[in-house]
Amino acid sequence: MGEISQRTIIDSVEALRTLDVELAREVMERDPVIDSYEMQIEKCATRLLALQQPLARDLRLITSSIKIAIDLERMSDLAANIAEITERIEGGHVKPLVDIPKMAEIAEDMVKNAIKAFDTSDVELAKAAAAEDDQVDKLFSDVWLELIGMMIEDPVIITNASHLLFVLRYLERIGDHASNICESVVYMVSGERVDLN
Amino acid sequence: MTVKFEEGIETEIEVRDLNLWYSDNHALKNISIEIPEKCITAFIGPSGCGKSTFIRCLNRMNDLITNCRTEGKVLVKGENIYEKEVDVVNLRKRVGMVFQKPNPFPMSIYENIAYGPRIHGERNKKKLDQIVEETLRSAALWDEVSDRLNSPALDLSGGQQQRLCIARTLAVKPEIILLDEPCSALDPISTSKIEDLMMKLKNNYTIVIVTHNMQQAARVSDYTAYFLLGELIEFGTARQIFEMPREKSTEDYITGRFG
Repeated sequence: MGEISQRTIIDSVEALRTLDVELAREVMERDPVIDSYEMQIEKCATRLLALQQPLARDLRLITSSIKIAIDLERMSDLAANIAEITERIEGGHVKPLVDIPKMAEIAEDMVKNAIKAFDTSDVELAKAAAAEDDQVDKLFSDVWLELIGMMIEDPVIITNASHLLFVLRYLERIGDHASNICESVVYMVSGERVDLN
Repeated sequence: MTVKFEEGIETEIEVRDLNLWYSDNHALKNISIEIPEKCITAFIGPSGCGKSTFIRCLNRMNDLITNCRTEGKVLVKGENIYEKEVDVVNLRKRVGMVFQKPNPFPMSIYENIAYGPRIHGERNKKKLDQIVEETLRSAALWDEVSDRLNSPALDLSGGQQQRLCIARTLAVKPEIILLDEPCSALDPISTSKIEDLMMKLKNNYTIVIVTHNMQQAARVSDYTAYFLLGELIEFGTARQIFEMPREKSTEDYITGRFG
């Protein structure tokens, strides 16, 4: 589930950058697959809770897994939203997309490391992954201001530029979900509840 | 072993360096613990770890066992109950006990409750009636038995018998109630009634419970102590013990990896 979610983030932005409608549809078609993974994890976790009444690290593993699955599912929803925007851009982008793919790369790296931290119970890696969110947030506000400036100068681009504002917002939310996964990993390993956002 | 209690909660029982031997078998080793007042403290651990032996030290039930030798101090409200001059009957009035198997006396429901106050000198019928009603109400049994107080207690169901035993303990106005696996012979409904009752009683009494049921300890206790091979391994709030135990052996036991 983690792997598909990572790929979906990158592919959704690649589809948008190159205005590749084909790839965008493929990304959207992955959404039900990811939803079914989430449902499977939830079912399995509920069954374990009901039948085994787990405690301590077993309990933390199960509650963290439920939360992580929800975060991954939400990320994929947001990636699908980005893919949808590909179809709405008319007549090309208002500017070449450089920073938006960079945001997607960082978000993907966060998810990759968060999942690795989950696999290896590595608190330090989880914390380092969450720290990358600052870069996503910085790019979000820089590009946001840039686009607003461009819209003021040339109102003709407002429709396409506002689509990109949504993309920025979706990527910023993806970064937050990745941080949430890191928090769940820290809790799973140490029992400590931390705020890494 | 001490734990920082929530603000305003004082120590009810303080145990210092308690050791106990059954002949040559060193069954409890240097137990030191402070048990908080008006809370539920649970003792958990695998069979033979000493938790039942330990709870029985808190009202000197082990005195009844031959070849049992105890060293160390158990202070109830600051007074060492192992001093020679301590009146054991009076101690057991202050520190009541309920056992695994419900053990009502082979008498009527009424007489089961009235028995204790009577041997402690209460003769007034009206007063006894009042004690019977009050304690049966406190034990959440009154509504089920008020119309048949003179029926034999042994006709009650297992869960009702156990609540009757708790009521019988309450009748002599104890300060502390010790429960040694009180639900292990009961069905889930009766178990849940006893658990509800414990939650209610902890407002007025200090409760110590030995249980094999981990979920029960996690549900009802405020503080939990884990015993292994006669030693107190870890003591903490129930939340800490069941969510993030410090000791590996506690973790292994409560997650079912051994025991």
